[in-house]
Amino acid sequence: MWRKDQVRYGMVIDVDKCTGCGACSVACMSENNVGVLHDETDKIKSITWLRVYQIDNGKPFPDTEVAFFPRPCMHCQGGESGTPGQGFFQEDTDPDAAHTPCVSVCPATATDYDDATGIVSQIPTRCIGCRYCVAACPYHARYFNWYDVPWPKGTPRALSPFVSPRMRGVVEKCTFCYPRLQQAKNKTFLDGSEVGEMDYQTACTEACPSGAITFGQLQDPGHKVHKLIKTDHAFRMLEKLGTNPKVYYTSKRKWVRMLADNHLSQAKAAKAAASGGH
Amino acid sequence: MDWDRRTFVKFAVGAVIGVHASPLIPKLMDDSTIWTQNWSWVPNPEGGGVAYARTVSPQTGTGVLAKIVNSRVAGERAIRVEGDPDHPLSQGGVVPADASALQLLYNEEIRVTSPMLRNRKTGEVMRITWSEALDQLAGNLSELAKSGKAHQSLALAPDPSDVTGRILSRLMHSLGSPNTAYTPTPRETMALAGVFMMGQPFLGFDLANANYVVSFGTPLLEGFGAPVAVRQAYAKWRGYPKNPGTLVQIEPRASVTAGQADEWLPCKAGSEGALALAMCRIMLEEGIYDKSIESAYGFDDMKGFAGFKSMLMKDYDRNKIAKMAGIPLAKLIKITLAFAKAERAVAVCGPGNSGDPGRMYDFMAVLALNAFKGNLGKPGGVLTQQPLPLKALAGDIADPQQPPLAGGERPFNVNNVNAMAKAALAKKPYGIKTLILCGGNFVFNGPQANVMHELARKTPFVVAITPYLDESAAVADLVLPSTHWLEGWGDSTTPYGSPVSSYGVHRPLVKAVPQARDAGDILLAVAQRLGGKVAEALPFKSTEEALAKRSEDLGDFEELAEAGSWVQKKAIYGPPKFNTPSGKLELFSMILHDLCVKQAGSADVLENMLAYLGVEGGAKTAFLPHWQKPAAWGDLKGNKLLMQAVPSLRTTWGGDAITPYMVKILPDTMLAEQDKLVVEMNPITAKALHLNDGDLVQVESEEGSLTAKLSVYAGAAPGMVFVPVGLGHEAFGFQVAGKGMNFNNAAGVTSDPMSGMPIWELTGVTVKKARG
Amino acid sequence: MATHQQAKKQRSRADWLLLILGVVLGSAFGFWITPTILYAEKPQPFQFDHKIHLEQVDDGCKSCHTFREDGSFTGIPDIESCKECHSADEALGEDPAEKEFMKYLQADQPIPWLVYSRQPDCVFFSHAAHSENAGFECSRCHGDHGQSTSLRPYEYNRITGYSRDIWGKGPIGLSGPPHRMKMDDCAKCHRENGVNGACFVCHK
Repeated sequence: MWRKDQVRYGMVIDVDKCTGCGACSVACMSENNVGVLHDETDKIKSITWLRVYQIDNGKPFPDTEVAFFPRPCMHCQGGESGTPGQGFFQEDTDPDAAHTPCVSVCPATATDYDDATGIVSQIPTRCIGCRYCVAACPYHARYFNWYDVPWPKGTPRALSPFVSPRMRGVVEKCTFCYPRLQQAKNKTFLDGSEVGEMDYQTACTEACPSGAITFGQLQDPGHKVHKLIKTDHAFRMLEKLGTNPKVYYTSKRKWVRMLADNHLSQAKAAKAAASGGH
Repeated sequence: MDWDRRTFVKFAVGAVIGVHASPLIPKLMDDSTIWTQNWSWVPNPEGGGVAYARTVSPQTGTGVLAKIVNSRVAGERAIRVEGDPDHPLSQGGVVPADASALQLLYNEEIRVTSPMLRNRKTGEVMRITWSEALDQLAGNLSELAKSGKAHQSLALAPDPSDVTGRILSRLMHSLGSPNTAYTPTPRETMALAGVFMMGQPFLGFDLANANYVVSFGTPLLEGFGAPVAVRQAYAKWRGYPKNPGTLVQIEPRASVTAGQADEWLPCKAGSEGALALAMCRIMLEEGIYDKSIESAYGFDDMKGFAGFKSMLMKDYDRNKIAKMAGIPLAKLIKITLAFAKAERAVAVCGPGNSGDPGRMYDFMAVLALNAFKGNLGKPGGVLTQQPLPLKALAGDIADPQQPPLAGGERPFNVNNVNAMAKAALAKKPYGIKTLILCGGNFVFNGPQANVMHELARKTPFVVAITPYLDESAAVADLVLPSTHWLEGWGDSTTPYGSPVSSYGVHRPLVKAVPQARDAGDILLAVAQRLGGKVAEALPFKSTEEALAKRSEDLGDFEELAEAGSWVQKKAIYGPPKFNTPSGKLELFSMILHDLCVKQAGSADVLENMLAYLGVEGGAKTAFLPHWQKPAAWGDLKGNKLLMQAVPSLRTTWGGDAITPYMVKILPDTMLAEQDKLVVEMNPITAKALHLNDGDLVQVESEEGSLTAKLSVYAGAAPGMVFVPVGLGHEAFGFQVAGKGMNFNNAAGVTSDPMSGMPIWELTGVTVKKARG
Repeated sequence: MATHQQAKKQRSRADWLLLILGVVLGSAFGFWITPTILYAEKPQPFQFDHKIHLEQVDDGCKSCHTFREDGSFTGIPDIESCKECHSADEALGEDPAEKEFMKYLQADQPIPWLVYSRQPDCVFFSHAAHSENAGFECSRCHGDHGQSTSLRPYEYNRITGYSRDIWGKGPIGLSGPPHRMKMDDCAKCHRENGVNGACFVCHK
């Protein structure tokens, strides 16, 4: 259960602003020491923590429209979610109802849900490689290392010391650039300040050339994301699964929202309106 | 007591129990588990203090921050390239190529690590010292010069406006060779159109302040000018609850820009310029144009020449053009009315989707449309940039006596690398003995990569000055390692289309290849060895010194290098200054007219010359913004299709190669399983050719062919085939090589009528099922 | 018959003694061999006297083991820090360690110290959180290293490659800091003090 002293980090991605350039994805890989295999067209084995999906409205020429969906890890909380007016997100008051699909299946406790930040972790060194979590994740956000990364000579010099490189046989995924929070906290320990909104931003958020990604604390009224998740155009992917994710999307285009399977929340909205709201 | 089997077993069992009671077994098991978590071959990056250094990527002209870790043992190394929040063209954003630049910088398997000499006959490669390498190059050039054949050398570089390009041009000129060519860019086309109509070579689009943007085939979101700045402008047009800006995209494919635009007008490829003029005509007929255009030179008829208005009324009927371009008339009218009514509207042109520099008359047509809107010098319109306050490196050099390989017969000189290569191959007017490839990887990037490849193969002595073991290095006799932009000195000038001018300096921040030298330093060292006139023309010890001289007027050089960039403080708003003979906006370009008459010698020969230059319609329209039918339309016979490139920020358009991370993010609509290139076609076209989605097809042009997987895409215009550009490297290591095929090998290059710029946006091709 | 019975009984008693002997010997072997086969020693590049240095500085350990402005910890000082007091031109004493040190100083090369408390790469440890925020003394985890006059050999695990200081100095490995700094020890202290125990607090 969420307490006042805890925070909930989340992300809002404006699909209408996203131009599908892939800068977020590349910045993410560079930040997090992701490797490159011989054949990256084998998408089952290719690892991209933040993958940009392209969708179109399926209409023939000349009515075709395209949109892009950057997909990081959703950092699902599970449990009962809120209504669109509240920005969907709400922590379930029953701690037993909290159910992060990947965390609940991990036999090795290699992934957990951090109550203090709402971030779902992944500890590759603890992972036993059973891939149960990969199967459980409805967003395909988890990736398995089928091979050791073949680093060409010299390239390990570009590796970040803040993220541990992975070995083969383990699962990895987006961490909301958690090491950046670790660095930001380091500073606060020294000078007694607090981690502000801009002190902890993910690599993809910073890199996006059109500013389509916003990152911050969902429950903090001072943060940009708090307002964004309450707009009419905000939605989440596969809402009906009840994963209660912390990554939001916004789009003015109805077909985009429909494709993201936002039906349930609309039904919920209707129900909420009928019952006089929560 | 007997020592028999029973007693032994008892002792042994006891010993086993005893060992288990010790920590040996659990400790061994524990350690083995830990070992599996920390395999020695998984890298262990050393930590350290973090610092950020400002610099500018010459690829995009955009400011970036290099994140540098200073480790106690491993020393300094860059771990990230991020956007620079304080650079106006970045504001923190970055493009994939810059964000993954370190993958090329640090990969020793693809970097040239020392000067190399290749034996052409055996293919053997020998590492040589720098002094030997410079002697080789200087020796070759001085021998040419001594025997009066200096002009039989050709040097190619990516950018005429950067310091390396300036040094190279001075070196070649003072040596006596008129043959220096560069990667053709839309900057040049815009400069021509700007000078001819406004007397202003430096024009840009104030996209960030516009609220209605009509793009004539411009791949705004696939990489255009300063790609980050364009995206930030685009983001400003998107808002909540209503979009503050409207984007209209005119192009034949449901591209990223078209898909994200508020309105997409799928036109016939190549008809964009005609549509701009049809919009002018509609505005004229409806009386919704800026009245000041009436006073522009050439709006009304003049003595002997029809004016722009007459030409519009005669040739650009809305019905006719809409039909020709395949656009519903109602939509065209709707867009035109909205454009005319919008508070801050702008029309944008160039570059071509394939990265070509664009057609000059199309640029003029779009400038005319902007003038009709009356947005010249207004917020959200077409602006003149403050010219970069850069100094010439040294005094002028006398022109070489020999004419250049190509372009000498034209009324004004442009840089047509393709025409030069073809002339050299045909030995008309003369062949070449030495080819210097100074960056830019022309053997891959082209234009028309296979012509460049053939030229390199047939030239007796080829030098490649490059950071990478790229396609150009592979055909060179002498390979000289130059620095990566994070390693050495260099600069970059205003990106195309930017409303403000900017200048970037990059300096050595980290060292990945100790032997690498700045390309400029290499050329300066050669000049020193050549001595005489050449050494006098380049009185610098290093690129750094040349840069300091060049940027003298930008303040303290050290401060400039530290800051990485100089950017024009404020955009120039207000009525633009027309540096034309009439002192007004010229719809009829007197400059162009006079140049042509001068070159022709007399007005009588003018028509013949214009016909020779490929200007259809002759002198009647040649000096007005008008539309020329693309050359590629001419060869659409039988079941030929038009091939156009699909640009993307995920592949790059030239310059540095695609990086491994960019390969990783390619969708399977660009690169399919097992690294196959994917080409797109409309379902109707595919059906007519009896092709199915997923078929392996052969795309053949006169210049070359591509094998690819067919993707049937409803968003592709019928009668066309769309090919991703920037794939198909043979070099750059296992992470990049062998992925797809090179568009530039099949693209046909023609010369733009009048300007003579190389154009390769559209190529006639046949597509059939590949055997096997 | 009886003698046979008696002999059997006697033999069986001796047999059981042998079993116990086996247990004792086996266990002794295990205890003896475990550290011997598991750990190897490496000498440090040269000797270093923490005590002498500590006496010369004002700010205790933090005089040389400093924090950077961004809150990260420098760990072992680099050669530049040594130069703040030592000069490459001024010869030190005749001690072999001092002579060796001068070589590094003159060549301006990093000294390849072996770090006793180096954690595996997957661990994120914030010195700021512990020494600044929680107010721990350095010795709480590092023992009296600061008072030592010489450097003991660096022992590392042959299988994992890690320092013995992390994986336990005792034979059974059940101690806590400063003799052992395994994840259990971190978790125990976090639990006891009500500090967040989520994975990402200490892993990267």
